[in-house]
Amino acid sequence: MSILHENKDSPRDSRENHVRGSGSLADHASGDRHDKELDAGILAMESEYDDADEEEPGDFEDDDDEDDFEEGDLDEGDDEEDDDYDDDGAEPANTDDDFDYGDGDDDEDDDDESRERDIVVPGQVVGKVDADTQSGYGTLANKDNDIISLYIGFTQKRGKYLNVIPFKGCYLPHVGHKVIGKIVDKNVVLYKLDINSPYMAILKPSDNDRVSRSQGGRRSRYKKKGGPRSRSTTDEFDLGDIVIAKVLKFDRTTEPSLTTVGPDLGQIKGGFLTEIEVPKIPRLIGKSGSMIKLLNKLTSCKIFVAQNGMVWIKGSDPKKERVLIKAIRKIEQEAHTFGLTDRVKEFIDEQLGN
Amino acid sequence: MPLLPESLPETIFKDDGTRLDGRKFNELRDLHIEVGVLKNADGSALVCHGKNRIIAGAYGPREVHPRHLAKSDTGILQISYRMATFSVGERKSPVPGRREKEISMVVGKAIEPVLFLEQYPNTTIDVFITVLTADGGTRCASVTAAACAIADMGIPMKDLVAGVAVGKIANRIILDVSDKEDKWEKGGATDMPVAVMVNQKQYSLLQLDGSITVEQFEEMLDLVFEGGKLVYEKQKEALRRKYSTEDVGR
Repeated sequence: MSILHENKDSPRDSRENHVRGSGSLADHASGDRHDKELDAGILAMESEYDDADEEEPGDFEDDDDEDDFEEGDLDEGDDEEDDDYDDDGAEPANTDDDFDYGDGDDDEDDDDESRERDIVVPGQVVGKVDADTQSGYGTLANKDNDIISLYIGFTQKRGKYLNVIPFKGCYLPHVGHKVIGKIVDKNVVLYKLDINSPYMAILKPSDNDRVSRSQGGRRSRYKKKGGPRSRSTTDEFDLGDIVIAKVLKFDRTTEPSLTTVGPDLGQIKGGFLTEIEVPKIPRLIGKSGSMIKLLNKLTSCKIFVAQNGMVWIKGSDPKKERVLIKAIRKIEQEAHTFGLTDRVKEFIDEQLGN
Repeated sequence: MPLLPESLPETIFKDDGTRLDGRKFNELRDLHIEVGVLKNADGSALVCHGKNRIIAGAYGPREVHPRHLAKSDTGILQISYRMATFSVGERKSPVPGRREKEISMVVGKAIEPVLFLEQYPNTTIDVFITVLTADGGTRCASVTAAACAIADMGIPMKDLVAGVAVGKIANRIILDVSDKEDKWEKGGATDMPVAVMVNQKQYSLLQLDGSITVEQFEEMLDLVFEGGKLVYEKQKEALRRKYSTEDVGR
């Protein structure tokens, strides 16, 4: 299920779309419930990559503590409202390390840049449980202590856990995730959003109101003037609008509900929307945000990577936007190879004619 | 349809003990698998097994329609097996018949044990299998195709499922019975389609049409497991081929 409708006649990649409306970015933020303008260059997923420095370069972000295959644990970050990267110019202290993502410690392999990792298929035995090997994400240990893969992907040893990182996968919502969705239906009390997941998400203005109050917002600006008692009406968005929202609650029995109250959240206008396979998002971000910072620097586009695999980009130069989309496609296709950051840099330089 | 039906040969085994198409008793027909053949499906596979041509497209997990089929505690797997009107000698009616419904159900039961449907409550995984050309053993080839299509979709699976048939003709046990061999014996050969989970060393489908002794049954089961391994290797190779970088520009 994709929130991008495909246009077969279009010469462009069918997985990208113009976002309707060309209003200024600050438009949506004029209401009092938004704390700040949506000016983030890189956001959404960066928080959990901040502390990734000690990890092996070239690896996907993963959770060392997982020993079963519960979905969604690729993004194990807590619910954080982390604004570190809101400033485009923000550079971490360890700039030198950033571009090592992809080759890193594999010194002997550096000359063979596009060397691949071994591809495993479901059911394949990828290892044996022993003193320093445990079954990690995307694997199961069977009764013979063999570790078997659950996905088509590649193996990765992280600490004592042996993980399999899949190539493809569907998005399952988790509380706290920031997602990009399209409003596909609305009635008096709620909107329904397609969030590129098996489940339709619900956005209730009354929830927004509640979240806003819990953050110290006013109950309603109309209250004393004899207007509607609250703003819990669905006038704010129209069908087809694209919004960035945060997952408020989701469990196995109810549809995910969202909120648009919070930093960076709300309707987005202008720019392009494109898609990336959910398991490859960590690769697009890079180790402590190295890849996304590189893209941001080279193309001077704003990039928002949502955890449901939707990527919103907006830049002033259409040519650079095009190149950025091509670069994202390249990252998606070559996510399992070594030395990707360098090749992406070369690719963008070449495309921009520098 | 030719005016005269194709005549069947006098003997089903050649003098040197090989079969009509030159195979030994434990050899498969040519098997080629291609993964990711449908652009608009979440996962897909084309299986060319002998003269069989079977294409499978997998979608999901997605919302269930009609809604009353949805289960709150688990996802469901819906398989639809259809034969194209041109897949057999005489035009086949496009209306799904009793046999197609049975095979849809049976393929679903064969695949289900390797999936973790409980991870996707209230959703469905749909697999549409179309037989373009039928040459005997389509239900086994459909299992092979469906397993590859679902694996291509990127949802967790315990194992791949390999479908392969074993039969008894002229009192000899052979692997991968073809259409001609099946029709040679009057009243149909003894035919046992099996779905093998190779790494689990388990069977998820076993049907048997005909009569055999217990010893023969055990012999057939051993033979079919070896056949399953051969099919599994092909599946593995096909899935790897799709995801190696040389092939990404599809």
